[in-house]
Amino acid sequence: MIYPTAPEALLEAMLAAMLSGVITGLLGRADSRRMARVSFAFSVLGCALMAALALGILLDGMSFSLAAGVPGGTSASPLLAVSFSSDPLSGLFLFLLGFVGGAISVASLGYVDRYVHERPATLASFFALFLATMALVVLAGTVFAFLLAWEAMTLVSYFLVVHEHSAWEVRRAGLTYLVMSHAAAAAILVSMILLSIGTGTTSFAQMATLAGGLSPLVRDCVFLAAVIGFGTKAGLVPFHIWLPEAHPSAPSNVSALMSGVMIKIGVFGVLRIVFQVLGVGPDWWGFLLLALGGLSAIVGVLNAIAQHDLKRLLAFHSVENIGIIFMGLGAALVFLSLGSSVLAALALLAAVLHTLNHGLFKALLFLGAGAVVGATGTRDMEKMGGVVRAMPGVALGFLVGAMAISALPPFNGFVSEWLLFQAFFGAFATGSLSTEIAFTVAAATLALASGLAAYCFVKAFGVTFLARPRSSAAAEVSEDAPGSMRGGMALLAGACLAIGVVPSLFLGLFEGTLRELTGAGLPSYSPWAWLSSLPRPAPGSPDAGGTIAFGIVAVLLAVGIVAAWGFRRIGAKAPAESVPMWDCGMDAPSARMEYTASGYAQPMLRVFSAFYRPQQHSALTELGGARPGVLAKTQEFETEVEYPLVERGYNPLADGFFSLARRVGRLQSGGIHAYLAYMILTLVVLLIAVRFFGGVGP
Amino acid sequence: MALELCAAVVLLAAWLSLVHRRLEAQIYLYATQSAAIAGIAFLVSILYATPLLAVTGGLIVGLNVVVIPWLLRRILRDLRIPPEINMLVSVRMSALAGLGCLLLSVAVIGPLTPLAEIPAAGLLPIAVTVVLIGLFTTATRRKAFSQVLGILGMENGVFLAGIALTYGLGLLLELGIAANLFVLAIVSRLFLHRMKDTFDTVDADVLRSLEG
Repeated sequence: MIYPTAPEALLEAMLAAMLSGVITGLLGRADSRRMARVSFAFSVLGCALMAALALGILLDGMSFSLAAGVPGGTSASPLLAVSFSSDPLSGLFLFLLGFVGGAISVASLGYVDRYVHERPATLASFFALFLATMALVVLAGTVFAFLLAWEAMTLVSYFLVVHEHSAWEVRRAGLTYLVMSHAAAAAILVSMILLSIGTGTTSFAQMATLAGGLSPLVRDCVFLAAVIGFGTKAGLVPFHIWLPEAHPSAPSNVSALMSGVMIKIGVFGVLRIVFQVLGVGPDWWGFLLLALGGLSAIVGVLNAIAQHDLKRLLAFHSVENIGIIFMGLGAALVFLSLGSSVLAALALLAAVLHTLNHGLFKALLFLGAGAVVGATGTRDMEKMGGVVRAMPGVALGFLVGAMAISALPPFNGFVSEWLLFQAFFGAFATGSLSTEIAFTVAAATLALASGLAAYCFVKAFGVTFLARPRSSAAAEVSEDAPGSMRGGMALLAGACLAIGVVPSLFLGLFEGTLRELTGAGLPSYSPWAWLSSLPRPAPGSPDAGGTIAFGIVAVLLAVGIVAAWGFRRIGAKAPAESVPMWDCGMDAPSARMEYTASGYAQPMLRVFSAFYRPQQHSALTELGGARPGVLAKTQEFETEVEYPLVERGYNPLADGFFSLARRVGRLQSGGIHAYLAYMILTLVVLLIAVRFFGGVGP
Repeated sequence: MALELCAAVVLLAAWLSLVHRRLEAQIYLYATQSAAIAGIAFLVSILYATPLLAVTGGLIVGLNVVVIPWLLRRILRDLRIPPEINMLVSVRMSALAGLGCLLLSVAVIGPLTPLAEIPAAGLLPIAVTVVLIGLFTTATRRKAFSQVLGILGMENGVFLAGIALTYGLGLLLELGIAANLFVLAIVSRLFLHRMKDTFDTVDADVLRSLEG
């Protein structure tokens, strides 16, 4: 691939497009739909440029490094150095951002036009800004640039979450998000400052060469702070509590962008700080990530099963998938500490591929959910149903997403989870008993999570789209989502299918990242490998062939489908007869006879009752009569599940903070003299500190 | 020599403002201090051939020496503020605190190594002293009016620091400070009027009743 332009020009064009999107969104009135469309069109353009830049970096060896001047010049503290540069890792995430963000921007053209009723132009403006800040986070080359872009990203996403702020829950979700993000940013700050002080530089590239010389204690602290900070952004259990609140509250295109891309920036942070800068660490780092990842996968999927709010269900699945990604990261760290870089590359490939995959199918699912929620006006699945007839395009897209997230072939979710299993099984070649036991548990956890995810998406798809409408709102849905929305979904669904069928074609995107972070690249694979297999590196036999042939499977599947269809056409001598459905002798079947989402989830709630602690309320309304209980008119049944982490973990913590704040509040006497005296005291103490504990700066 | 003399006037004016009890005199002290700082600005501009600094000096003369004292005296007359200052700390203690400020800033600022490269850096400890004394004044006076005077004194200290460190290269910065100062004077005037209307006093202690 030969690019006619320099990467700097592409970068500037991308930023200019995004800025135009921001400005056009702000021009004119906030409720101008035309301005919103223009702004989203700029976002699409910016994302296309971003993807082009990313492909240039990944496949064409483009690179750039820009140092921005800080007011005050070079004499200012070196902590404030700002630079943006590219490497394979940033290229990979830039590609994710460009492709998924671009598809979501395309879909937003129609989505915002039809389903968002409040200030669409403002939404579009923040949307473009959000995309730009995420790109800057990924490209940041120094600590200060990173933190600046990171905070901007967080703030902009907060405003997107509270876009429909007239609802109380939305404001509350926004607050939870802001507080958690703040805590996360503090943790990230700690990890980066420890690194900067220890290595004497703020450039990530230089840190990476110097961080090996830090003391083990400092390295451990950096690692833990980074995991807490980035894990919070990614939605890792137990720092995930903001995620199931914020994602459902935001407009659906924003949910898609947050879930599809933004939480991946947390994964990016872990890769940047832990893998790239810190490098190989003690094995407990990897086991910790593996354990947290497994916990997230299970907690996420179990919570998802209990949800009847479609978007909340999807949000909990983000927790699950982040868990799967972190399991891959943890496995890679363990293999690195054991010195097995080929296995580490495989585990990391699984993790980053799943990162890309989850971005694709989760964005697809959220867009589908957004169309249904927008059309029916409710997020409650019990009030949906039958939408497939009015919205076949959306239903097809959602089905693809649901199959992909359930790790069913021939979609991309299968590929990455399969690779992850391969990596886990590879642990048996390491010869360490504790590692083998840990990875056996990890594999079982992953299997359980995948199975439960499939279980959950049968419900999500079936209850939402199939059967009869469960409410009048669902029955009134008459038209499919706008064309641009279906177009955006088709882009994502096509990518899911393509990665699922010919994954080896896309492996080139990951080569540079793997080589840089693990020292081992992909094992050599033949140019025809895409047709036959994925490479499976095994220690001792680097070119051990593939174990599964996606291309052949897909071809066979296609042949089978065509053959079956053909036989049906040829073999159908008599035309099929259509008769009324057997209705068990009742009147015409109604929506009330359908399987409900609650009913579907019941078995799991029973099996995992220790986890859910379900509280069931059932109420009978009697018709009266001689024998009570026989002639019941209506019965209501409702299940609530507990969130012990929030109730016993976060709430006491918050209470503690409030009581501390009240205690500190006594300082606030109300007298202006007291406040001024505090200022003097602070100033004097600072001056004395400067005098006796050395100066700051050069 | 003249530079040192001006600096001494600045310092002395700051210190005297701690011990003088009459508001009228405080205003004159402020004007004197500002005039001395303007003098420093002129001298430094001649010494280091930085004509921009002379502009700053002119600004100071115009604003701090003439306009702001005139505004302050009008407030004093319009609101019929009692001419005596009401202090939380005794005069003797204030005087000692002023000396403490001087000692602290000389002890802290003097040894800072990067300052050795800046010729006029000798002014910096004085500037910091003036800021600290201004802050102390603000904190220990009961009347909102004398607190305003304290803040104006602090601004003078910041001016001086700006001159000492940049020889007027930070003209934009100083213009900013000047504008800030002017706004401050106007806002405090409005504030005092409103306070007098609401509480019938300019004693800042009444604000305690606003505590949330």
